[in-house]
Amino acid sequence: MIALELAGVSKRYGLRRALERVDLAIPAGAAVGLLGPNGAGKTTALRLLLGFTRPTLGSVRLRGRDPSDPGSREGLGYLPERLRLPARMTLAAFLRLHGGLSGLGGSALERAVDTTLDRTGLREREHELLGSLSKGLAQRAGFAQALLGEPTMLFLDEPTSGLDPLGVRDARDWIRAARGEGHTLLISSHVLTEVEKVCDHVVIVHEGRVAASGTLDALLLPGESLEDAFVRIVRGARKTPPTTPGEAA
Amino acid sequence: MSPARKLALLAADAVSDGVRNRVGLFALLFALVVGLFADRCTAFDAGTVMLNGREFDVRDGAPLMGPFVFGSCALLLVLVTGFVACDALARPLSEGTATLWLSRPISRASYALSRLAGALGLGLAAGIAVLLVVTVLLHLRLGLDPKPALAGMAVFAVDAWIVAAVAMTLALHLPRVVALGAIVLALQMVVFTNGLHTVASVSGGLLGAIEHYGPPLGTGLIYALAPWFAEGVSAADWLAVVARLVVWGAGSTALLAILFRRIDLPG
Repeated sequence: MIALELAGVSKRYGLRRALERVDLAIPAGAAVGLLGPNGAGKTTALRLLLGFTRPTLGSVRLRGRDPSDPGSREGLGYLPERLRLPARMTLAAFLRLHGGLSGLGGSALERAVDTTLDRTGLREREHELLGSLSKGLAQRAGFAQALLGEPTMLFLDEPTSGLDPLGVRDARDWIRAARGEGHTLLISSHVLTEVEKVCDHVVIVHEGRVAASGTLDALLLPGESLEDAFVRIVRGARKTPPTTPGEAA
Repeated sequence: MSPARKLALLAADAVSDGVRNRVGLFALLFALVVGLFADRCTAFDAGTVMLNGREFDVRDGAPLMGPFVFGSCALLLVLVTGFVACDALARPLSEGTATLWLSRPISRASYALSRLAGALGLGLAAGIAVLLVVTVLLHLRLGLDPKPALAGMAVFAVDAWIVAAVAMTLALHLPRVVALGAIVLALQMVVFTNGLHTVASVSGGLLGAIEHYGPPLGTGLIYALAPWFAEGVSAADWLAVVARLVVWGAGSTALLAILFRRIDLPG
């Protein structure tokens, strides 16, 4: 079953081309790393999938639905690259509101908030204002809202940004746990070593096009790291025929 | 959880957000200043004024002073609601907090309407409180019947709804200061035209178009307060004005929801 699909998608912002005829299909349960240089179009692809922007051409489907349909985002957790939290809201109130909007209520909501606070190590911060949290703690709070209520699909944009080494390790554990539960993961990141540790598929976007995609095994040459492969593909040292993760799987 | 429950959650958050931010504080302070304005305008005892050689008792001016004070306060408070509304949706969008909420299974229309409801909640709470005080002052000091003021408060609520929806829509596309300036200018023009139409026929040009097709923001207040200074307004005239106000309210709200669905979220 295809969880996310971009079919012939182009996106332009005025004269600037962000994505050009991108075809991508990600099966449910896949853990996909979305890689690319700055300005390659990774965040635009995520924003299209979330319905924050609409394609200039082509179609986007999230669980078979148009992303403008709120139902397509049921059970979705999202951590944006530029995380902006409501500064004058407490962490607990923030999580409760996110839980409520995700359909949780009553004791289920309280359980979910408690579990998430414990899991992300933010229990002692629950009554603090989000604006008073350090960058690393704010990123943890962002993770907490994304993980709240056991989402079946996670979109993480630069998830380890601002985290200290312990935080990075925790984040890796949370992502691995989600992967172990068979959830669909789409992770946009520059930290290739992290992607290599948690993803089984990668999609490399360059200048608005899919330069390569497939399983790690299919993309890496013998003895090659993901970073080496990334540089090779982006610099065009060797063209890898694009395939969708679905096809590669 | 039903969409209505989610809308209520977001609207409650929008009210809290307004209170937490400086815009809510500004609105409350401005409402307080409006209340003080009403106090100063009605703080006079019996006395006489000489005008063109004739002597007038100042309390004889109550039938005109009442509508002036109440109407001015109501329109200033409508502007307060417009100011809160300019910020209510545009700020979370520019700050980037809106995208987190909109990644949840809620529609854009629900989010926009909840922010509108939050802005209105703040604006109406402050406005009705001040207008109640004004009504009491006018009754105690000038002896005016409170019933027209109650009708005036209802018209104020609808005026605030229209102005808030238009202000929120403008602030999606314009800088907030520019949107607020446009609202101030438009409100002045509409109220001036409505006021002018009560003493002279306004039929042609821009003013005529405003009078015939624009939101009767001033006319509604004039009709509501008419028992203080003139004979009552006919039921048919009242109905026509109320219908136009409601159509403008529903139309501006629908426009907000439609345009918000179409924009690219920043960030």
